[in-house]
Amino acid sequence: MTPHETARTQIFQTRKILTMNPAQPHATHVAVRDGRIVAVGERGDMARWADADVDDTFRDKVLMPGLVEGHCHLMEGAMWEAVYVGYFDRRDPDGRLWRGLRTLDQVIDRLASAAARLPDADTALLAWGFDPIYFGAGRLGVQQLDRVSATRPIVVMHASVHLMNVNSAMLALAGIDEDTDIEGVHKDAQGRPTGELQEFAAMFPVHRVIGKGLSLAAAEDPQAVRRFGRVAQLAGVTTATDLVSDLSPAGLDTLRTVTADEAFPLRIVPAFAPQRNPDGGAERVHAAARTGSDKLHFGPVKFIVDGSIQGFTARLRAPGYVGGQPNGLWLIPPAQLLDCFTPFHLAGLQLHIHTNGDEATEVVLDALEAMLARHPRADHRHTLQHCQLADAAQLARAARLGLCINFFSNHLYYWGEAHASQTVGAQWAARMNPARSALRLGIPVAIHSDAPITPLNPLFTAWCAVQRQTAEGRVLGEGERLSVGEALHAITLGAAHTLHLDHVIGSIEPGKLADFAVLEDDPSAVAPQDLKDVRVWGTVLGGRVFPAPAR
Amino acid sequence: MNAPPPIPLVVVGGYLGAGKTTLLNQLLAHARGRRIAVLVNDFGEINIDAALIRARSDDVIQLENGCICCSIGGRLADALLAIAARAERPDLLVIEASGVSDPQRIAQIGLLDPAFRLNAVVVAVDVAGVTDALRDPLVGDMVRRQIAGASVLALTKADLADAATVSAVVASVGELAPRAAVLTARHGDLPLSVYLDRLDHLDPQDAGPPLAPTVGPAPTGPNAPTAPTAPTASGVLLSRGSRHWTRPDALHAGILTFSYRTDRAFDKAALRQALKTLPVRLLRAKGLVAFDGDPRAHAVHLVAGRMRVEPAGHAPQDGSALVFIGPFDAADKDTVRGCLDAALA
Repeated sequence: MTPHETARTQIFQTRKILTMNPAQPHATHVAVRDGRIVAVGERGDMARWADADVDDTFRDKVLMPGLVEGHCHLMEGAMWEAVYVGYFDRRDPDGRLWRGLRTLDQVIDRLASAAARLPDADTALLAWGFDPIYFGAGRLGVQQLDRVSATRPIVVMHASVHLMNVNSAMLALAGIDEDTDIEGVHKDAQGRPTGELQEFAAMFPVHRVIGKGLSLAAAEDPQAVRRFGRVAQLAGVTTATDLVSDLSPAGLDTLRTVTADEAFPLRIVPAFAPQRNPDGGAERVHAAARTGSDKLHFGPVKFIVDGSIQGFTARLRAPGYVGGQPNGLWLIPPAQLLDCFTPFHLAGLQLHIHTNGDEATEVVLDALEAMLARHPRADHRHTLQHCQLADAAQLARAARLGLCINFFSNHLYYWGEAHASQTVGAQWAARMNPARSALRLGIPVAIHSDAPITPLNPLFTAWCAVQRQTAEGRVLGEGERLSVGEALHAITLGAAHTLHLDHVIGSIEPGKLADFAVLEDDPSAVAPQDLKDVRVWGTVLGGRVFPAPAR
Repeated sequence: MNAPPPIPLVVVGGYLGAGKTTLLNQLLAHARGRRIAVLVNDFGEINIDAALIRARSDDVIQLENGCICCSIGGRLADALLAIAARAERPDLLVIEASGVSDPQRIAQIGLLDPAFRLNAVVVAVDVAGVTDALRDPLVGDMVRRQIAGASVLALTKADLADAATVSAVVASVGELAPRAAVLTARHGDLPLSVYLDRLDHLDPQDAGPPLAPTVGPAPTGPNAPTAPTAPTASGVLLSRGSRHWTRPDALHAGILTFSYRTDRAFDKAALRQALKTLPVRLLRAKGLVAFDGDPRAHAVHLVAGRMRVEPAGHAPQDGSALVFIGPFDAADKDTVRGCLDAALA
């Protein structure tokens, strides 16, 4: 990238700057030159830059370091091709707020108006973000979707992205009827398909119809990457990951082109996932890094070891799922973890390892312990991603091994009730995402959204880690609450640390990149329960100002 | 519109080191001009596997491990769509499932999508290692799921184990998969009928099921694990078969094909119930049947306890005919006939 080159120095005058630098926690002015911070302080500290342009746009705003989302996916940008039908409010890339839909009728209405905007009668209608757990016995079945249209194929992806509901036209195209005898085709008491599909085989015919829409291959689509950048910008984010990347030539070309555009508001950190692309190994990451820039950073390598807790595919130790469901899935055989990790470790790269269930966390700790005993490496910063059910003993091991943890704190809000009542039970739900315990052990901590699984909005994620409150208002594990200061650290320097970027981003200090979140309110001054309501004005990236689109 | 006939599909699964790659290589070594496309979907061992297989075939597609976060839109789906769209379709598509995935989940596309027809879910079982694998607290449940979903359990490395071990393994895995054919695969060698119907490779012009009984080699032994000696060759467990693959008839050593014909119609629900619970071990069954009260003929296809039923698009026919392929003995045939008789309308 070219940083926003300014021949002259620019001074941003603000109401308040939260620097995240303990040596100088607050300031009012920050001087920027050639995309980097040259001075931070009060008006008097700017005297050396007498010929600088003073920009008072932010005179009543609060600046924080640009927020860092350490675990999300470019797929968030692809989802917005489809219509959002989730239960919770969500802001689209243009800043428009899509209200959460609280009844099935509201879902039907939104689908109907989206259908009316489609160009012709045959185009499939795609929707995403639906979550049936909020509708009790109500179902978005064939009959309901056929009210929108019984002739146009309709596909509604669930929030988990592991299930979908389709209408009768889509069932007919897929060849699914009462005779279909495969897993994942849900049927009613009379043996008729209800339109709810899951599993690879049942969803394959749908894939045939909708093509690459809603897929993880978003990096290859410039529009999706641009939309992703806008979603991040709206949330005050200046650096975000794409935590499953195949580093395909087409995807890399797109990322290079889009991020090179000065008007693109985001630094992107793709994490190479060998499970997505078996070719190239560590050299593929090194080769990509040689063509990187300060808006496109390579180095993290992602591994996915188990599934999700809400999908009952995470690997749990005893006593397991409260409903007696069978244990989850391995995506990598435990016996192969060491062989999978070691070449990337030896190549100096950083491992980001998805372990949702505590059994997955345990086998990963075993593998990392063996690997690090054989091949010690200072400051490796290997990071456990999600790590939702780790217990105290596992956290202690993680600390001893020098691991970082990026917790999925948004789960406490979005699925906290489901975890307490349906998946792991109240006791385990209370210990989920134990960020406070991890900090107490000195573990570098970040917190994340896993967008598009939940909305990309670090201030909201910080609120989740601070309040630990479910959507119904129940508090899970009060003792694991972070302070506001700790949570703000987790979404800036904490996340930057897990990406090995804390030397250039994450705090407002001379020498670092001039990346700021521009806020209407002071998150350190609002009541903790109001942290999620702090308004984002926009961002500054490398000294360039990016106001959020009008709402 | 004339859709091309579906591509026969076999999914090969089994835990790490169970011998999946050896099975594939043996199949490819004896492909004799058949176009076999292979999707390798393993991780970790992958480079070794793909290289070994690629030495045998120029139609190998390497995939990432199935990521459950993208069960839709992953590379497997893309690869399957591309194969289905080929002008010249392969004679057989084999998918090698990863060591920790459940092969029948992938296989089920061959019971739904019109481009594919499932012929077998082959799960390799390492006689020396499976007992430990089943007891393993981390992967035992996955190994159990793999075995339970198989239509064919291919016992590998049986020649390295003593007879008592083989018997114990046959008993335990046979119990997990009570309707799967249990075969030994010496050096990865399985009867070709596991992968392909006779018609798929002897007479590809005739896509319909044979309505006359097909004479296969005589059944060569009980499929219960009672014999005292370890097997010395591939084929139906404990059969006397020697090398296969030498001439067309011998390709089917140990596997018997027989047909059931009737001029009556079936009760649909009863036939479904009967086929799905047949108390015999079989590879698969197929047929054209008439259902009571329905003027159309229906094609029926049964693999791994799951059934595909669809209107055949043919003129209505008189009566019904079904072909069963498996390691049958005479008693099995009578059992099957009895179950079907009971399902007639």
